[in-house]
Amino acid sequence: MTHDKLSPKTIEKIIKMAKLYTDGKGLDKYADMAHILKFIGQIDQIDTTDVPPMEHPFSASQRLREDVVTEINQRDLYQSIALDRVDAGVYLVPQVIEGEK
Amino acid sequence: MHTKTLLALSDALQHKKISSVELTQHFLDRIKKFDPLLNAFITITERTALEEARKADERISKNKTSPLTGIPIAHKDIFCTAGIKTSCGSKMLDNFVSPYDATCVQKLKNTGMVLLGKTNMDEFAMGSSNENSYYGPVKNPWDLDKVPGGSSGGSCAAVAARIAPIATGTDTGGSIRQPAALSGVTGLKPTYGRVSRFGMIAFASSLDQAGVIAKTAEDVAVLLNDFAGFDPNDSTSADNPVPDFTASLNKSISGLHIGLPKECFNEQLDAQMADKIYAAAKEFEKQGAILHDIDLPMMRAGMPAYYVVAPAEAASNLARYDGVRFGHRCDNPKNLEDLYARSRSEGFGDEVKHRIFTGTYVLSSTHYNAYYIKAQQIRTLIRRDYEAAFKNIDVILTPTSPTTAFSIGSRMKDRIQMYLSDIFTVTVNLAGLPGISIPAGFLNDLPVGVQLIGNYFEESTLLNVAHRYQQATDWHLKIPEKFRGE
Repeated sequence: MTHDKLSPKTIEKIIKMAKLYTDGKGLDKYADMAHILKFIGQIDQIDTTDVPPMEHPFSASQRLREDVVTEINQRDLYQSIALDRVDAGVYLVPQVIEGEK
Repeated sequence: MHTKTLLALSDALQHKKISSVELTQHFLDRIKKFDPLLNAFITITERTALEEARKADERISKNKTSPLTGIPIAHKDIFCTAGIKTSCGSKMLDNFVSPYDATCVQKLKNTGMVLLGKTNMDEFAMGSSNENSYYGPVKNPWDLDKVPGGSSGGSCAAVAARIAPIATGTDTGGSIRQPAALSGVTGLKPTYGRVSRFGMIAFASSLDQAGVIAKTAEDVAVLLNDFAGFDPNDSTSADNPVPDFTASLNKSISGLHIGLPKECFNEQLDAQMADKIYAAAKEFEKQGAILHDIDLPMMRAGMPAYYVVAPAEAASNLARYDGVRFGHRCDNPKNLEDLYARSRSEGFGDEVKHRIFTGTYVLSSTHYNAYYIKAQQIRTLIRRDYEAAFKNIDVILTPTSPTTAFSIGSRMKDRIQMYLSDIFTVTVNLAGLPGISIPAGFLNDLPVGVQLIGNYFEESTLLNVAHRYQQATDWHLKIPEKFRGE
């Protein structure tokens, strides 16, 4: 396996996917990531032919529960910790409108 | 009072030699006096602590108690606490107050324990020095210019300085054991699933495990009796019986087989450190344990595999911090994309952003098989190594960390050097096994920790072995000079 070199273009693509910086600022901060990728790239040296990936440390399976409602309505409790953002029983949220200044 | 074990404190409370209010006030006074030197706490809950202590005293007067009733505790600021800020060491959650308690917090609350406050930590538990906290670094009580280790650095420093009798922590790659070693205290990471993760802020869900930081293995056992156990709210919680962890503390270790992995005792390990660890092994031998050299060949793959798996899971878990549902939100977003990116860029610290970057990279479609699947295959090989070892031996003994506490700032520019602090601890998380670090001496006046690794759900064995060591040695009783007085 050949690992990608970390080009500025790749850095920008990853940052965008990770929803971090959207402008050019801060790209330099990730320049040292090439060292990290080289470091983790050492896993290439391990032969994992026919080895199944671990799914759970002691092979426990996902537990399922009855499909019944267990949550109780805690509206008052949740509103009590958002005091300055609740008015007349509704949450006040900032407007997010595409293109809004 | 601050030097006493949990059982001694419990005895004093039950026999009314001291009240919980007096005991709590004693620790609050010590926090006020000493925490400015350490920065071990993010939040001190003085008012609610004294209220809880009064309630504990009432319970004691009515004989409705458990051994933990009225004893103060500090929780790592990663555990949700109803009505009390839970920051996870991050600007992102600086304003976050949970509406509920984490299950393990609730369980201890039910016993009548008293919460002193929330301890400092590396942001989102990502770090080995506690320098990545939004609330500033924690200082090591043994040398205030040194780090206490991380990420549970606040909890370890608080117990080491005796400003909290016991504390909780979490361990994803060594975050209980490594700071326990660097701070000179006892720290247990239980088997994956042994303690509920419900209400514990997620970093890497297949590795994260809550645990205990205390002065002694006995204290860990006493707390673990109520801390551990199945939780239907956590789908990865193990439905295994919880034994009385104190029952076998004094069992003889004669005939116990202890393995020393060759991979941990090679030429790369500092010779003085090796001497200390061998001395600890000799102590077990003196008590009748049989030492074996063993092979754990996959240990070398642990670090790179860990730094694939943990960031990948972190990138997924931390996607929820989007400026909408939780925490920090940027001012005047231009659009939704800008809101996400700027809120996250402003809210997360440098190390967290770097790990999200790594995680996003290894999970991206072109790299997923080469990194993430490959690392999960390596986890299988690591588990096989341990399974093979545990066929012939009972406990594995290693150094907890390759070095003692290092200077604040000395590794911040070299990520890989920082990551290597956890070289002996990460494979335990990758395999999901229990591990404990206990104080085993000093090098240049700084504590050394020895790590014991057990088979799945064998916390009792680890606590037994650690307790026997602490019956024969006094390293765990040492208190840093600045914090000895009242």
